[in-house]
Amino acid sequence: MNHNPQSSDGKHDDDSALSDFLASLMDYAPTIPDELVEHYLAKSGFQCPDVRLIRLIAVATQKFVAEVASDALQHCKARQAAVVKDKREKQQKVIYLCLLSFLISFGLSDPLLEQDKRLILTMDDLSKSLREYGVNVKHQEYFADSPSTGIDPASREE
Amino acid sequence: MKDGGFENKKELENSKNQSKYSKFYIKSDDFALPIATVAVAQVCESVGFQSFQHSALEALSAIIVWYIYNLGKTANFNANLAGRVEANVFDVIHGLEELESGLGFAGASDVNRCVANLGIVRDIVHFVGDGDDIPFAYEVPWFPVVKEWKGIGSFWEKGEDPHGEHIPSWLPAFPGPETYAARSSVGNGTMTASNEVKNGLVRVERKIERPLLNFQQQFAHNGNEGGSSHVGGDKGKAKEASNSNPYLAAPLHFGEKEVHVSPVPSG
Repeated sequence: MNHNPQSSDGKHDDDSALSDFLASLMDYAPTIPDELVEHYLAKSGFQCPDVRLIRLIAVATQKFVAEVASDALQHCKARQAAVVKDKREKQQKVIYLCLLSFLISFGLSDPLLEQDKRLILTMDDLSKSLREYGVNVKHQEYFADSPSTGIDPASREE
Repeated sequence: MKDGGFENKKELENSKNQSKYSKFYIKSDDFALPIATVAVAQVCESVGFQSFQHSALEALSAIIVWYIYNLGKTANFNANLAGRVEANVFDVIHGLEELESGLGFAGASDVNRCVANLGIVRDIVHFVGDGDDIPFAYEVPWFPVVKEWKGIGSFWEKGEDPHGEHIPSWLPAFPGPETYAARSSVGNGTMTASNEVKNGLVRVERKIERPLLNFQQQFAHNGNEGGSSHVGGDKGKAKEASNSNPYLAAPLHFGEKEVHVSPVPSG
């Protein structure tokens, strides 16, 4: 069996890179505290006295949350852009322009823009982003008081 | 009814709060889950969110708790599979692979891949290197707090004789007579033991007996129906236990109540 010296050197480099990375984790402060991670790892039966592994798991979890949150942010921004566009088309332009000029004269900005600027993490955006990761978090679309809610009165009488 | 409705509302809210975290809710998470919620809020804020829906934040914090739990479980399983009790970095990386397998990662199809140079590890290295570290907002104490348990001690430690050859000396010693002897002496004025605990128990029971006695005297004079069957229960039961087996007493008919009338002391 021939051992490739280049591959063994490469493996040594990878191992040293990994050990250097684990050492650098001690200087990095993850947002998820070590105590929380250790608590849930202990519940799962995980045993390891090495703090670097706890930090690795904390960083991996933080990365997961950041990815999910950034996907949800993209969904949120796309939704807001579509909503603002619809609003502008539907409103009467003359009345809107008069109001806008009145507000600008008092130093205020466009209220439509201000309302839509706030980025809120909603269940809708979160469920869309989590679906890509295989997590199904479905929210009820609506709750009705009775089975006939929302039905036309004419069809209800029938 | 308003009161009934209000109580139902409270119960509804409590049940809603309890069912919020669905199958992963454990009472011990009352401290840990809010910490996870704060951490998630900080991460989302760093990404760009300005506000959160309460339900979305709670759902995401429950999911990261599930993530950590599953990662630990998988890493522990991998370690046990290799004949080890303690997990190492490769077990953790394999666990990350399994969790990310749904999305896929660089080098997944390579059979002879090096674990240390996986796409997952490189992504984590880039993540750590690119962004600034955001420490947790609060100082978290070590939890859960484990109370020190002081055992009774073995026969050997106490220097006692195990009361027989069949009892090894390394077993915990038997509890002292004060834990079981005091109950049998209720109502008995003369005490044979000089134990302080025993005397204290008797004093407490005598203090309770006097108002019970007065109530029973009043009941006997007035002839009122009341909770005397309930009041004289402890005292009556103790007397019956000393005289006869209460479980062999005749059953009461429907509507009858057991009333214990004690003799009125003279003077």
